[in-house]
Amino acid sequence: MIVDDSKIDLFLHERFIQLSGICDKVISYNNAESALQYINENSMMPSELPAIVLLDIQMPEINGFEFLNRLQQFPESVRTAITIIMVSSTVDHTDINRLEDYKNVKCLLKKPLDPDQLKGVLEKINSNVKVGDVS
Amino acid sequence: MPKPNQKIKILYIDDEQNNLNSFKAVFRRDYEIYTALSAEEAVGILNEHADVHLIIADQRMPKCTGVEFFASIIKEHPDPRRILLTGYADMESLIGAINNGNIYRYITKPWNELELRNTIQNAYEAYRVNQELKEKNQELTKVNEELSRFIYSASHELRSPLLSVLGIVNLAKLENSVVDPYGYLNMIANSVHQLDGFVLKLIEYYQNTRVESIFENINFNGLIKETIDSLNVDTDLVKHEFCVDQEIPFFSDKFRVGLVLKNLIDNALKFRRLSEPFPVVKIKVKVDSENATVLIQDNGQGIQEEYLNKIFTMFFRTKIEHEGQGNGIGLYIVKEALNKMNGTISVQSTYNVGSSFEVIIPNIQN
Repeated sequence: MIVDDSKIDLFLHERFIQLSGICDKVISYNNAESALQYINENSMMPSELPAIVLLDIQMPEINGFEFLNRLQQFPESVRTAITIIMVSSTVDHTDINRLEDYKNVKCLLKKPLDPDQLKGVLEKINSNVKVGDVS
Repeated sequence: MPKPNQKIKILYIDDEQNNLNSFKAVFRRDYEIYTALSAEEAVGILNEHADVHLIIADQRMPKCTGVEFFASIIKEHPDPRRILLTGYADMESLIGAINNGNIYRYITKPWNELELRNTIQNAYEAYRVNQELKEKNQELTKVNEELSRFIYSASHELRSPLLSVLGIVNLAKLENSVVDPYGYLNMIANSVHQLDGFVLKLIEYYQNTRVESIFENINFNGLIKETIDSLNVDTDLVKHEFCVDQEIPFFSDKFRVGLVLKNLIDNALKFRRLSEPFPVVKIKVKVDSENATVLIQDNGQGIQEEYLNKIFTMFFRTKIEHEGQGNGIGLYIVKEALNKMNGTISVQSTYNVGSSFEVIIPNIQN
């Protein structure tokens, strides 16, 4: 799943993921609310939950941190199923330090996303995830 | 702020009604006058009329002296200027009150009209100047904050589309979907990188003015390594060597020390001389209980002597004769960051030979 308020970035990241050949399904949302709603609707169906979420930080209304906070209110089965990769242009040290508090945040990738770097991270997460859970 | 032609508002406190009456009789036409027979009554009037400009109080009152009254209201009503009416016998308490800064002037009793009138005019002038200053200060603080917020959000809004452009260029290259025999994509990427570099400098400038200082133990070996890593140095193009002499802990603002190192090292790398076959940047650090002394030397372009005293000015750039041009913010940020840490910088440079910057940062042991 990709959550980013920039439609161009959504498209770019979707293409990079497709080109990496690692994930077979990508769901994109240009706002955090809809993404959370999707997770909520599928919270009882682990196979429909995204294994990986590429999450932007600076978004209007619900930003990346609020998304993470809201995600923590979901049952453990949902929380542990999802690994987060933050994707942001931030150079704000408080932003970067704050991310350490979230257990399911794997890493922070800087924009512009480096396709090789993304591929590496996806492969690493993928090797820890059971087949079939990949979204 | 008091409006022009507005009557001066005066509160006069005296326990003798006769004194109040005679004051009113003399000044009623010129000033807006409030009177009170006691400190309690005076506080009531002040709470109701917060815009009183001057307070005149008699020193000798039964429950509370004039000086005590002034001391008691200074927190709630700091703005009105205070004038004390007193007999010669009260000198002692008077000196204390004046030294404590509670009182603008004192007038001996019985007052004469001309003296009191002059004092009132002067006190009002002092009140007015003080108010103006206060308002200018508030305005300045507000403008400053707005400017910082503007820089911050503008920088972020500017960066996202730039990074999207870089993303598109990356994608086009990856897909090989654009016919680009002349390398236009790289030209686009380079220009965007240059603009993004400038925006990043603006953010650094903002961070330097806004981020609070946190003092922590700084290990220079580690910090310099981190800094050089973050600059993505092409080690085939420029060699760097550093030597750190640090046997004791060094405490300072790590963020700003990093900012200084980053900008100086970046400059040393960026402004290399194309005719120099072995460009090299040397970094030396020596830490003692008082200071850290950082020396950053290069054999790059150097700076012409006539520019040396201008390089720390915002947006100052020398003539562009080489590639890898600056944006005129880096050294300004260095200087500003050092100001915040009470540090200093000096530069020695010979044009077409190289530059050497020496930075001294105090070691904050406590």
